[in-house]
Amino acid sequence: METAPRAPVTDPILLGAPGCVTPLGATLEDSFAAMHAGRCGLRPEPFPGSDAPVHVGRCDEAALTGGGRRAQRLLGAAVRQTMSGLSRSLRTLPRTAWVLATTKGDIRALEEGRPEDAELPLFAMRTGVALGLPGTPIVVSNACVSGTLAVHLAAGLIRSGDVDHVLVTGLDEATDFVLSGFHCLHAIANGPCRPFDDDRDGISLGEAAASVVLTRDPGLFRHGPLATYLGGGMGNDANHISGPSRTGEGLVRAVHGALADAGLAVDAITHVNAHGTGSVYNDGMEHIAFTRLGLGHAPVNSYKGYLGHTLGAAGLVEALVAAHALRQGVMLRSLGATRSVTLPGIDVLHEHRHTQGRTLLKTSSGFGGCNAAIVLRA
Amino acid sequence: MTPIAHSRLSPGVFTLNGTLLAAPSAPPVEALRAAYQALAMDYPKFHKMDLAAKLTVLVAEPVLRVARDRGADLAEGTAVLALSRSGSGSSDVEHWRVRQDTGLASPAVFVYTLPNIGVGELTIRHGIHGPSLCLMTDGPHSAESVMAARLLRRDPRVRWLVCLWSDIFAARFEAQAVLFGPDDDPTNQADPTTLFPSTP
Repeated sequence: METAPRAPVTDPILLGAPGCVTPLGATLEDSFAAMHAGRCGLRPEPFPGSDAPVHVGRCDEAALTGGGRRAQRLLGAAVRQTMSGLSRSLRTLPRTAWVLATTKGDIRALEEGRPEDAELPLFAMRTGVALGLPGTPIVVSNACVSGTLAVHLAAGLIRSGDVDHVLVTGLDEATDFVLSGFHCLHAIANGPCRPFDDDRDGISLGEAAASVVLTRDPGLFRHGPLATYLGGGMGNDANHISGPSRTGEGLVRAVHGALADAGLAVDAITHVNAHGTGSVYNDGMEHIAFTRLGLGHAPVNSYKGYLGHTLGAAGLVEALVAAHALRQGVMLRSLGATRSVTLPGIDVLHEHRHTQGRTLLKTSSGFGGCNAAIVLRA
Repeated sequence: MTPIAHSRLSPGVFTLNGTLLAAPSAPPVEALRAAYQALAMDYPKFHKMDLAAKLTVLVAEPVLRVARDRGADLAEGTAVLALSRSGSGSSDVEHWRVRQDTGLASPAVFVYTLPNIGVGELTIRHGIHGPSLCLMTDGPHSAESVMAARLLRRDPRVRWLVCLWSDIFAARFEAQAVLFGPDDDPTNQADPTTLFPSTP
């Protein structure tokens, strides 16, 4: 087993060696380039039980690598990018944990008549074997905040001294299981979703996998760090299991917690990458929360108009893209939002804009009334 | 550290700190109804929940009553860590059965097809606004869950911590809840790989 001097506990926690597979690319760089070019990864497809097609973000099958189940090949493609971005082998790195964020894992197994194989602890164990990684991941399944929460959990494990490095991964597929569920809730948009637009009418689902390593050791990254983790927070609405809060209470608490954890005032935030599903009520809730928080100065966007809602992977995928964008000096337009006069007091990005700073607030909100926020410096 | 309160709910056993509250026999539907009656709960929303959410709410109820008796402000200072093996497995199967049988899906079933929904119901019942974290584990005992509990406790706003373990699928069900107070470190000195006492 390799050994190396441990970084001082006062050193910042870094994110690096990102890996991504999204509907717009087989890497983080490709996905960002497509988004910067204004491409939308959502395509219409027929949906059983519906006369109208639904728009879904599908990953290119050619991007999936390795063996095993499709979900494992999707995740494996992202993890291999992370491995290639590290100066040392993830397989033998000591004092390393692995966190997997997912809502449904390999739900296709249930669709194929094997519900036991869809249980997340078993899927996690088998995925470790399929990817050739030691041990079994800590599985975070906190609805749509899972990806954001996984980063916060990973940083906490390093801060506490429990581990020195954490591989954080996120995964979800857009299968009939979730499509039919959101369809029955009348939550699906008629076309590609339009987060933060006045005429938004619902969500679009997508699929993605993402991977990144958190560590205090900058020497672990072959190409340098992507971002520095500054803080994180969580909060619950305690209001409704599937309806957003009317006051944004849980999200306000999550952001307050993240800012306090980071030791920052709200004025220090220069960009907000929001959850922004495109549903009337979610985006309205975020508008209320951001207004309460005094975030009107920070340009806001959502990536779901590009990628769809990638569920448990969303928080991680979007945080990586947003950090990468800031390092390129740009805040991407919120694709689908052309007019936001019904959301006064927040600065929705209708066009790409040059950055004024690199302090990113990433927020997520999910069923069950859960909310999570992290602050990164890109 | 021994938790302030420990409840356990499984076939034939519903206890608080080892004291029998009820002896609910299987199957789960009848057992959870018996547990609800034993607690003399009056909470109409309970009857709309799926079995996994009912199990979560029921096993947590006795320890949260202890917290209230000790003056806890559940809304402001409580965190919830939930561990589960089956998660939403039962509702997942039901959602897919409806989809297969009818070509449609049921909103009332689908909203329970996430493992954290039971915790959501718990936060609604008790007005808990603090942090919550839902981890999927093969059993109640894991070093990672202890790390996660310590993470939740590091939030300066958190004074009370409720840790849950639940598993319910087909005929099997089992759940535990422990309560840690403001001065408690959830690390079990005798066994740092678990949050739950080995005996009722």
